Amino acid sequence: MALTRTAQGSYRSACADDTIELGRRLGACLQEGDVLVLTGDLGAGKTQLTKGAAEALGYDGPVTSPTFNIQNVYDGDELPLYHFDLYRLEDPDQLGDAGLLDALGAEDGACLIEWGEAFAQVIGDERVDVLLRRLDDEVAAGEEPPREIRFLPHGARAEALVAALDARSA
Amino acid sequence: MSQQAQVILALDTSTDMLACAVARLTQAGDGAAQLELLASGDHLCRRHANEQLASTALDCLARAGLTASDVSAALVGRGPGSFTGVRIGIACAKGISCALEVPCYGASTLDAVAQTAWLAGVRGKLAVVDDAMRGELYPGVYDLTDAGPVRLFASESVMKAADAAAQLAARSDAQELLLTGDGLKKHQQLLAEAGLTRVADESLWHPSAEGLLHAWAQDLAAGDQGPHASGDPALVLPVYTRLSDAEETERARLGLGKPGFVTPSGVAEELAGIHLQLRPMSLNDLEAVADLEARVMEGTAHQVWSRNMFYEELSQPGSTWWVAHDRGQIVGFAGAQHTADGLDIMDVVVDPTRRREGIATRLLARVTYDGQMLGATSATLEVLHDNESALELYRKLGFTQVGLRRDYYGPGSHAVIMRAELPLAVEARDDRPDPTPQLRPWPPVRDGRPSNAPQVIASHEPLIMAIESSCDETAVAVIDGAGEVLSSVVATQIDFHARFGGVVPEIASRKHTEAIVGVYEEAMAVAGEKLGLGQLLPSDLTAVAVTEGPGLVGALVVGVAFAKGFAALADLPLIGVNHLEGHLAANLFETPDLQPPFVASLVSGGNTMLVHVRDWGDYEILGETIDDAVGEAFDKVAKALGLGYPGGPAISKLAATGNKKAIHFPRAMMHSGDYRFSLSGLKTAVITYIEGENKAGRPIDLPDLAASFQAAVVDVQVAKAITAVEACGVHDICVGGGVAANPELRAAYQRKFGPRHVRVTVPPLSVCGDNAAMIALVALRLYREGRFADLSMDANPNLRLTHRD
Repeated sequence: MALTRTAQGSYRSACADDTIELGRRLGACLQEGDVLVLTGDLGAGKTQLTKGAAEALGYDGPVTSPTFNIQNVYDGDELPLYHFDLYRLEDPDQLGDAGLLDALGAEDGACLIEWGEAFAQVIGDERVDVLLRRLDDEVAAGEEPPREIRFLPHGARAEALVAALDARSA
Repeated sequence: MSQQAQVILALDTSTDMLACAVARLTQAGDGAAQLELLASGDHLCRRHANEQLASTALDCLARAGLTASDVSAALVGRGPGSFTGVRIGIACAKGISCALEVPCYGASTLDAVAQTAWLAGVRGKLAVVDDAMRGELYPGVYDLTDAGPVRLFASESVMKAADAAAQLAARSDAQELLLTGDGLKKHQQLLAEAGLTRVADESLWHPSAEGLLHAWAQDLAAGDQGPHASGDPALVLPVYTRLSDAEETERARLGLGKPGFVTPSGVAEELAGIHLQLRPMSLNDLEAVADLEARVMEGTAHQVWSRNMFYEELSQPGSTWWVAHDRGQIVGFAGAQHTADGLDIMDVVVDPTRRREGIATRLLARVTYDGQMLGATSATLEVLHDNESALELYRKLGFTQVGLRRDYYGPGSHAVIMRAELPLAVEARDDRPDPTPQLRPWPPVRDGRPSNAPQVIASHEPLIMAIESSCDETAVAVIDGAGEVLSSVVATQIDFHARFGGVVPEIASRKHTEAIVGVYEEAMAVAGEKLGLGQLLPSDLTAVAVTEGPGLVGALVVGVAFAKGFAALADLPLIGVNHLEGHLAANLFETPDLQPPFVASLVSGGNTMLVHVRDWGDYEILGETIDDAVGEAFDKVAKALGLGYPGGPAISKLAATGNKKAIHFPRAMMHSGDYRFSLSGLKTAVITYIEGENKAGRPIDLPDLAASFQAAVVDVQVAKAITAVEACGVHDICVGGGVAANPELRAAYQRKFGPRHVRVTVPPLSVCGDNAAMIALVALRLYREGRFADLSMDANPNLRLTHRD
């Protein structure tokens, strides 16, 4: 395990287990109404991060991207986690029918949104953008590269959330 | 008339409150009703209503010292509220009503909140503001008099919280208003800033079941129960106050002058073999519509509308216009305007060569359905006094004459004014996919059964009813102990989703709620016929099964809530079925002696995976797609080619005459050494190819393109399946899911596996798509294994095939 914090709100994960661990720490900081938009290529670790967060909230079932169903709900003991995958949506008009606006409006759980960057305007000003990147240049071809995971807060609650995450990793 | 006592089971899950109670209603001859609350189970349940509702209902009955057979009617809060919440309550109430064959009634949740305050002793002006989420409120003002609450508004509506605050604050009685409702949780400050500071005690913000009962009793006494007065559970529908976002946006676009995104080319319909479809009128249709209008109306007393007049109408807020089209031709249209008084039907026109095909009826059904969703409870129209065929049609749909305007269309040409309650009396028909509520007597009249009925039932036990609602098909099936499917009814919604290029989750959830009772009844009727009993009764069943997941959460919830309400009150065991396991089991319809171990390929719009079936119920997922599902890739490519939705049938038809070697597309992950799939790259390659050819000005050979794309998909599917079959050492390969209907995929499996002495099973076409027969088949096995779900089961959108309880 080699999960390291490289700067404020910035992490380096060596493997999938590291990303899950970072997700666990994130999950422990989540509150009702928190919204995170996860951005990264296929295989960058968005689902692993979500898996860790769901675990920390007391959910022990499987976690997969809801590419077709758009919405998964992980009903843990602590707090429900809404997991959205907006990959197959093309228009902000589709967000309401997909249940995203209701989950955002209900504010009774945390929302993790994959492929949400195109809809940032609708998702709102209070959110954390999570950027996941495969550092392919740092390893030989065919090897699994480390990941850089950065948390960019928008708004006061988002800043508090990222600070709490940093404090857990100090 | 002597006094009649009824036991009412009431529930409302429109808000965070799970409201549930049992009451005795005594109705005197003069209509006055007396309610006696026997037991109440109201409690806050935030988002867990579906888990707790059925058991809370049973608990209330037990505490009242009653059993299910004592219940004379179900009553449900129709909202407005959380769409999913309202649907949970309504689907559960429908299930209860069907299981007990008792009436199902509905009442407004806003009225219930007002009554809750009234019962607590509040008097004077009351403003209910219920949470509509998305920063919106459902406002309603009442005068709480000593006699009861009086509604001061016409119909439920939704508005921005700030607009609602401004509207309430502008009232002359603003200072008297006492605020209540769960919208206060988020918007109390905003309302206070508008000067509305009088707030009811927080314990009154949610509807109580007792409040709901009183709201209904008040409607009953006033003889004002709306369309669901008959007690028919099919007719009890949510109060939404708005269309789905997809439809709202579509209307806005049509009105704003942005070109409609559906061009009536007719190509896709031809390919898919679908004719005569309906969709909202767009700007692109105006010429054709004006032409048809001129052809039909020229020479009649009616004024002929011009293109510009249609344009003006289409741009009006609250207007709804639909066209019927067939092979690219507009063959009919109808339109209406929603006003405070109800729905005003402006025009109904059908091509003279296409009369007597039910086109006008279908158009009117769509137009009035929209009106109903916007809050209209009645529709009016004008018709020329001597237009006998039109008069006859309207009468059949439930319109009655309410007035006559003499010389309205010119001297001697009078306008008959007709009015009908919504919904219209549209008969459900087998040859039409639209799931419409049927109109018939409720509770159903049961004719005498043959005397050997008990023996017939016993010889077929266990009789299991299965329900499927995971995506865009509402389906119910009945299976007997020998594994024979006695009935399998599917109501597809594809017509409602097609013009949006894919399944719209909110529309799917709405259609399930509308269709489920009709589909259930037909499945029970067909099964009963098959056994020679006329109609199967709830008491004939041994168990109730339902798809638990995976699927669209809002869609699954409807089937699960219905099944639980039904099972709980009919006192039948409940079985939860994995939808994917259903697709695997569908292979048994083709190869009844199929025995694990075998390898199965699941390919649909949502899944692409290879499964090692070690035993029934014991599955190992060998690998699945890392991005798009196969069905999704077909849809995306079809969309890029302008072939419409769904893409599968259109592409496979084109491909049948094309050369699959014409264009080389990548076979992604063909040699990845595992069982994972990737379709995203192929989709991109096809789209890049189309764009490249377009840019170069070269015509695209559609059959070649379709065949080449399809071959790239099939090659990878079959290659990985061969590796999997060899690695697992099995002698059977099965295919399941909607894409299993693809002829080339079916043929390729036969071609490649035949020489390897591996038996290929592909389900019959009728059960490749979603259906409840396959769910029933799995349920029968789970029943035998004694694996039952309890009443707390909820829909699980992310249920995995490998999940075990």
